[in-house]
Amino acid sequence: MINISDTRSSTDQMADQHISPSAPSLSDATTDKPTRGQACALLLRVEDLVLARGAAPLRRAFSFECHAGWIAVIGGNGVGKSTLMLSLAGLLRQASGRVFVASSRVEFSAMQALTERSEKQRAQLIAWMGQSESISGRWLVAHVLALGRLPWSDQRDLRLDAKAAPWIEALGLETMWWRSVDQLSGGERQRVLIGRALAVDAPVVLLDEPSLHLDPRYQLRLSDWLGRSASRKQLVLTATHDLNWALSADAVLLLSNHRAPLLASPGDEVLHRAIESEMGDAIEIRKIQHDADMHWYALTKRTVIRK
Amino acid sequence: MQDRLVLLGLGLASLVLAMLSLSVGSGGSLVVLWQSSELVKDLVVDVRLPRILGCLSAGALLGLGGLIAQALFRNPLADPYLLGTASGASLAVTLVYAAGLGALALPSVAQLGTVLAAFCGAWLALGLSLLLVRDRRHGDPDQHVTLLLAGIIVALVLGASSDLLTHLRPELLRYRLAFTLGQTSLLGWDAVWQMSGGFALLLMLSSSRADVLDALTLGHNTAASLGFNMAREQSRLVLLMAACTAIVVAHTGLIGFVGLLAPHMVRPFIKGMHRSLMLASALGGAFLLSLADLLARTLWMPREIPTGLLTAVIGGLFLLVLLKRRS
Repeated sequence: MINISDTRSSTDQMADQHISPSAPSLSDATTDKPTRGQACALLLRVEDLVLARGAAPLRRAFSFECHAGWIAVIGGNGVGKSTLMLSLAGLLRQASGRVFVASSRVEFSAMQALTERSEKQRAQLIAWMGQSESISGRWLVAHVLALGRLPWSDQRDLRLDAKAAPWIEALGLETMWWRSVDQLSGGERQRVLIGRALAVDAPVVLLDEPSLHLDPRYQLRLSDWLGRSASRKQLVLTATHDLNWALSADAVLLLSNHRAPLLASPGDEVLHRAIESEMGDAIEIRKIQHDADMHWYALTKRTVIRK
Repeated sequence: MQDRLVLLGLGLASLVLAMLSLSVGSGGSLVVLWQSSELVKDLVVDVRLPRILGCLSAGALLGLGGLIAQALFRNPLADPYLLGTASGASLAVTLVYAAGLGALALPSVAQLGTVLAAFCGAWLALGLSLLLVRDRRHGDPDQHVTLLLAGIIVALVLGASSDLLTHLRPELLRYRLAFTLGQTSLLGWDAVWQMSGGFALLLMLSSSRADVLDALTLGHNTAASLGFNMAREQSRLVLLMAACTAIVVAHTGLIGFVGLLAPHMVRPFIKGMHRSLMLASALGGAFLLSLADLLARTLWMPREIPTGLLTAVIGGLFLLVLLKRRS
């Protein structure tokens, strides 16, 4: 079993993620006990998850475990990225498997799976944002954001305070507060929807294609915010097709129709080769040094040829 | 703050309209009637007052039902008559008349019979629609679309059954016409108590589900991710919506457009979400139906126009203006 442990020191936030053990793929069984990551604040454990939409399962059951941080879920069309998000959020009844969220490993022993908990409890632990969500009606941005407080039904009002909720500033929402959502552009609406999911303030956040419609400035702001997830003791999974954006995450989960899911650090060579072959060799992953940091970029082959 | 002012304004407008409605009519204005205390008793207390109060409650119920329908089905064109409730009520009333109950000597018994029949018909139609989607998986995000389709099918089948019955017994046409056009002229104190009591209860129950309707603006899955058991909440909301319709249809027949229009009428003025909108939409519906009733009574005095016809005309024009303003 793979687990991503959050052993980063606070000084080197962006560089060097430690992934352990070094085995590159998620095992199909959960026999071996994970050995590292003992002192971590948050743990998501997924056992024997079968991704299925409709009757046919997409692949064999798989299990994984991860700590606080930002994990980008990638893979070609139809490999089940959204289905994974829906299953983890408990929104697919036909999905089998068990999902646990705990604040420490010790808690797991006496733990109920999310499916065995009440809807409210689940909603407080896992926030979910769908792909290209629509908003029906002409509501104020403040009202839509406040919907994120519904799982905590006693505190529906959201304070207009960037200090109380730093994501408000990261998403540039503070100036949009009293605008009507039907007057927003696609990117602005997307930021509001991401904000709605973050307003839940859940330890686990699932965002399906959050970078969609965002301009580069807000893509960067969002990845900066997501990159600090571990220090907030929050686990954020984002499904995306933007490989460059995904490669700036703490870890990458590659889903595929042909092979077992692969969870690895973005600098992992095996991951790079797997992504390249998964994308039909249409891309090539290159290492670029940038301000003493290593970054990996997926270049489409056309760009490479012209060069 | 602004919402409260709007609600207050809507309430006041309905009140003023009710007062105006109370003082005019084919029996003479209030000033004339006041000179004879007996006429005041007979005409104002026993005829006009229950009719006006009945219109206010019926309109409020339709407005509330319309708002629930539009939020639940996430469709601005949804209407509380969806899911076959109206056709079910219509068929039941036709059946009552076909059985000869309409010709009973005691009109009050006959009226109670039709009210009960309409009520049962509406609920049976709803049950039929729900039965058609019962085997579907729970938590299916498309469930409400399937339900909507089932409602349309049920409405078509029940409507055709009424038509068949009318075709076989043409003398039923008169009763059915009165029912289909929507009447407010027969509303008595019984109807007022039933509808206002029903409205108070349903408003209370709906207000407790306002959060669900708010969450539904982001879609079925998001609402579920926010901690609501959507299969259960959806059934509750459908039942609430059908209850609003059934009570009104039983007393007035089919009065269209009020449920569709009332939510649209108040939305531009209300800042809050469904909790404030519910009350506003109900008040808007009360205002609309009272206005239609006043016009129905006075436009062709001393003749009366079926109120349902007027709501269709006013509502249609109003909707056109709204569409125009929006684009």
